[in-house]
Amino acid sequence: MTDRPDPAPQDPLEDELRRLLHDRATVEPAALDGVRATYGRLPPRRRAPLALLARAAAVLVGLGIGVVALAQLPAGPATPPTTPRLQEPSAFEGDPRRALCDSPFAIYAFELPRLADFRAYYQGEGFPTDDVPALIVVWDGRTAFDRMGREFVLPPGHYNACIVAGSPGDPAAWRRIDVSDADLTALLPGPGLIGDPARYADDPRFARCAGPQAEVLGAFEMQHARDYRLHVPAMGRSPELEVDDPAFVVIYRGRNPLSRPGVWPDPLSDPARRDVCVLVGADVAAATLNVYPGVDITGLVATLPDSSGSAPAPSTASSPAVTGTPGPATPEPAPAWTGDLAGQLDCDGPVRTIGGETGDVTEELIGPTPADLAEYLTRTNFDALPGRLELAEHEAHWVRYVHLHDDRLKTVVIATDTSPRSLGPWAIVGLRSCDPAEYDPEVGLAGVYHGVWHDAAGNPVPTELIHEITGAGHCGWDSATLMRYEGIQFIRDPEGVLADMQVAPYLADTDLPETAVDTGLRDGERHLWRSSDGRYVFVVTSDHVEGWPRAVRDFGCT
Amino acid sequence: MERACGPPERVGPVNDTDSEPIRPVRPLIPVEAAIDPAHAEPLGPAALIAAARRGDRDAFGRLVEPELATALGACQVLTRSHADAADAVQDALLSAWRGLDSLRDPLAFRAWFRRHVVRAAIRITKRRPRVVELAMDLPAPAGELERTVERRLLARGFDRLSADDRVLLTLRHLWDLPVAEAAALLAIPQGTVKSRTSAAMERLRAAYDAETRR
Repeated sequence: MTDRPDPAPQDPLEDELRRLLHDRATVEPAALDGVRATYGRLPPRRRAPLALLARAAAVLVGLGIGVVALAQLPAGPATPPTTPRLQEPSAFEGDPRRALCDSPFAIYAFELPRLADFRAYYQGEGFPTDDVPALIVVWDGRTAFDRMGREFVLPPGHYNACIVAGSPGDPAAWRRIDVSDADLTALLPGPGLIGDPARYADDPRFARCAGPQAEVLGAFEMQHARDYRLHVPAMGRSPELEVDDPAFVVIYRGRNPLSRPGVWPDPLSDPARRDVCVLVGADVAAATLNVYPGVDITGLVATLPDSSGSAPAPSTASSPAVTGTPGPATPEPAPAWTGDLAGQLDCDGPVRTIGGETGDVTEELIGPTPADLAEYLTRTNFDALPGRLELAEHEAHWVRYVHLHDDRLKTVVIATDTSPRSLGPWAIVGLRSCDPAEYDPEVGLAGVYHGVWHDAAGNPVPTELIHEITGAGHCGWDSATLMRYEGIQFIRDPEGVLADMQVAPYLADTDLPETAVDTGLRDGERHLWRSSDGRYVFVVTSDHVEGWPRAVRDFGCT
Repeated sequence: MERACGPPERVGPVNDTDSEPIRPVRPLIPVEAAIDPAHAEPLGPAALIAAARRGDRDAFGRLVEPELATALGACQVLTRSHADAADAVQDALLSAWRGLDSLRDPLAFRAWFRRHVVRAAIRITKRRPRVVELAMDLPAPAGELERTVERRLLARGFDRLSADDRVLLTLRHLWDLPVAEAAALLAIPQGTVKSRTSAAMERLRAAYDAETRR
């Protein structure tokens, strides 16, 4: 009996492919050691009923019930999970575990007495938990580095949690995972994370924000109001705060007393959102009062410089310490090529609605260098961009990437490191594009979008008519493919993750009905047919027919 | 003659009494874990699986250790990321550990474990969107694997293939799996393996040609 492959004729390309694959499969000893460490951290194979109860409780917490609720639930035979104390990463300087998770994007860190408790903040599977202590370092920004110095990028709304299992003297397993905003919100705010409102009990600024009458989560000062998005990075842009005046911030735990009942949504319905008061001006009596309902406080990282002192006087208090590296305070004038992006394009059809002109785009952080744009664009909401962008312009603080087909400009992307929001520090600030059907067919599409379809004559078809995307991973749909054809969604669902969303079952291997109609659309060897009753499209290849059912309704993953 | 397993070999200098060998500092696998202290003979797969099913992590480690480098290497190919590859193998270890009761034939452990590895790699690969390639005059990264221009072009062509194509080509040309084993691993007919492998190779050829024309 042999274990060799079936004999095949010699093919130089196959030989070269074999050499390439073996090169790429070369394993570094350190990487192997990291994986080996998993052995000793595998969970017990038989779980006690109480442990299962704790796990269920953790999932509930992950769904938004909250850390406080978890602490009140029976949590298994060991000590119940406790709310971790968030700290500056520098608090763990000298801890070997901290070194394993070193990153310029580390924003805070916390210790857990039992790694198993991390499930309270992470619903994902795959991390072997145990009764060992752990250090968790959370990285902000889209780009981070693993312990081997390689860069990786997260989708918007996600952070990295770098987890080191073991005690400071014996760090063992190491792993990074993605955690979402919502997971982190369960951690925010922890004791001492933001200003203790008691410190400001007699402060007239606190009184103007109705602090004494409110249940307040925290309060802090800003030397300049324009720094507000350094402290509350997910807060929407607010022109009235783009001033140099000092400001005082109060974040309410519940509804703020200044709101009119019934007008604003209940802030407690979303754990990531809180009402916020920002008092702008040095003169308390004349300061401008701004109250913002339902502000997304995800990423709030303001801390008091001295947590043990008495309440500072308004005129002498220093600004809260903020992690991250603020961008340049005074942006330089933008080059001329950052303007009129749509006018720069040479499209056959209309300019797509994605993105916007420079300054109109909600700034998206991409990382410490312009090159980070590459991976960032694979995960962004700026969908269906070309798979290759050329660096066309690069000045000190601005870059312009383009995509050309037959020397005609089809996509332009502007990024800068002068964005006031950039903790990162480079951010996309402008993006316009033609339809992907106009891209160079050789480069393919980036991100979750699949390739462009063609009509029977071989002409590319606009994505408005038909496109396919991979299902969103964070909704557990990554095994599915969603096709939108003539405005209707069809689903390829081999693992049944969207079974409830289909008007009929997905057919992995079927016969093409005699009544099916050829749409004339082609994607390589794939031909698209549709059923006469509209319930299916059929993706037909030379040896295979799949039936993709129509979705019961339009849906998406947010 | 090499011995795959047995009492600890002497490593480095011996102590004054020459009564006990000195072990390497922090061996990759604890020497104790590589030896069954009761018998001083290696356990067979059936015994290791039985021990692992009872919750013996060391036994599980000994089961998967011969497969680990191969698994990690394949995951590097499939995920195109060292970090994701490590994640995939850890996921595979965990799912295999949890699913040991479903393994019927101890002698089929390797194929069974490889299924976990491939599934974990596919899951991570499909969760990660394809990478945009930027044309920039950046220095080549350290540890550049492609030694020639042709190799680089082929690598780019390979990277442009779908995850399913990469899996098939990896099984056939990295792991050298026969059609029957690849079919069993992917739970698809042998004929489908043949046709899809052929189609994947053609797509690679086309992608490679496109790269050379660029």
